[in-house]
Amino acid sequence: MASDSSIIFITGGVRSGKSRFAEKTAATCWQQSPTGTLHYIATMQATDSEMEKRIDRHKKDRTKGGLPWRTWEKPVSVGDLAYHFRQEDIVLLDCLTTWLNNEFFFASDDWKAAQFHDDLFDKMWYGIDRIRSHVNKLIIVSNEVLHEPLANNELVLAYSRILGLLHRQIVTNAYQAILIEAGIPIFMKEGEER
Amino acid sequence: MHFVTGGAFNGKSNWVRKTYPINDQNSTWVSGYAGEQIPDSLLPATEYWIVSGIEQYVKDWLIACDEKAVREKWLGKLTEWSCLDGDQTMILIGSDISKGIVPASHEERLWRDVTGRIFQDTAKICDRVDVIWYGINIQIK
Repeated sequence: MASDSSIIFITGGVRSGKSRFAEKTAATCWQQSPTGTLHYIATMQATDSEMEKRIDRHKKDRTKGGLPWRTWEKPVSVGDLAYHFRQEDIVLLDCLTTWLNNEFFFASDDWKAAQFHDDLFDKMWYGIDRIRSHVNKLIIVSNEVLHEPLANNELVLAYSRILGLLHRQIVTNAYQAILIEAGIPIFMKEGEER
Repeated sequence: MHFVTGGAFNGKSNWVRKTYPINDQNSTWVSGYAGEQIPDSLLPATEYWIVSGIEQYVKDWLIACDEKAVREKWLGKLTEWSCLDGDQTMILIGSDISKGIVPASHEERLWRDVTGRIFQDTAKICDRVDVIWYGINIQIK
């Protein structure tokens, strides 16, 4: 039931300010009852020095804020982290699209099978749901990438379909869904907090 | 006439099914995603007619026709459908493909451009327009 949910869903275009907004949201949630831990789940893996620098800069930014962030680097099977969290914790997952990328990447040739798509959706939603049930708030960051021609690329089509399904499932189960445009939040769904 | 748009896989068709009391008996659903052709006349005269995947029809038509002919063809359909009698509801569904980076191929650029213009034509003639965002509707007209 949506009203029992602890999920906040935040999405937007590239460089729309969604990560910054998500960090602020997490910080605000934490300050309301600063007994738990603030967790940051980074799904991005550094594959070159430019990315390393960016990840490092983000990490430093979070430390500078003076809040007790604890960073987890988890490119796949993010749900496995659930048992590290406690009921009073705030968890920020950044971001869903990279997580989905990674799951596809690690799947090698399996991605072509329809069964793989269903299983992957189930795995990711189950992972999200597991974390959600363990914590006070789960904030999920994702990207707006479903507004361009899909052409006839099987991989892009499969990726887009699963991402769309996940977004719909998350929005249905979230108590808040926010679209960020040029740094400005648009509250698409404002539900009851649990 | 009702135009429903939004990104791919955002739940547009599901939203239509949820919003209107559509069933197998009272509706005819023509899907461009499933490769179904738009019939020349709207028979059977079911209470609801749904044409989904407008952008897919644009893509198909652009293979044989130029932009002008495609727009005229679509405008002809819109005009015909807007004269439906009051007991019938026409619902048009199209995926927004306008917000990515400029496609590399001429065909894709043309497809995207013509789809955008056709969506404007459609929104102008329809009396209601909704954008669907992951299952949530925003009525913009």
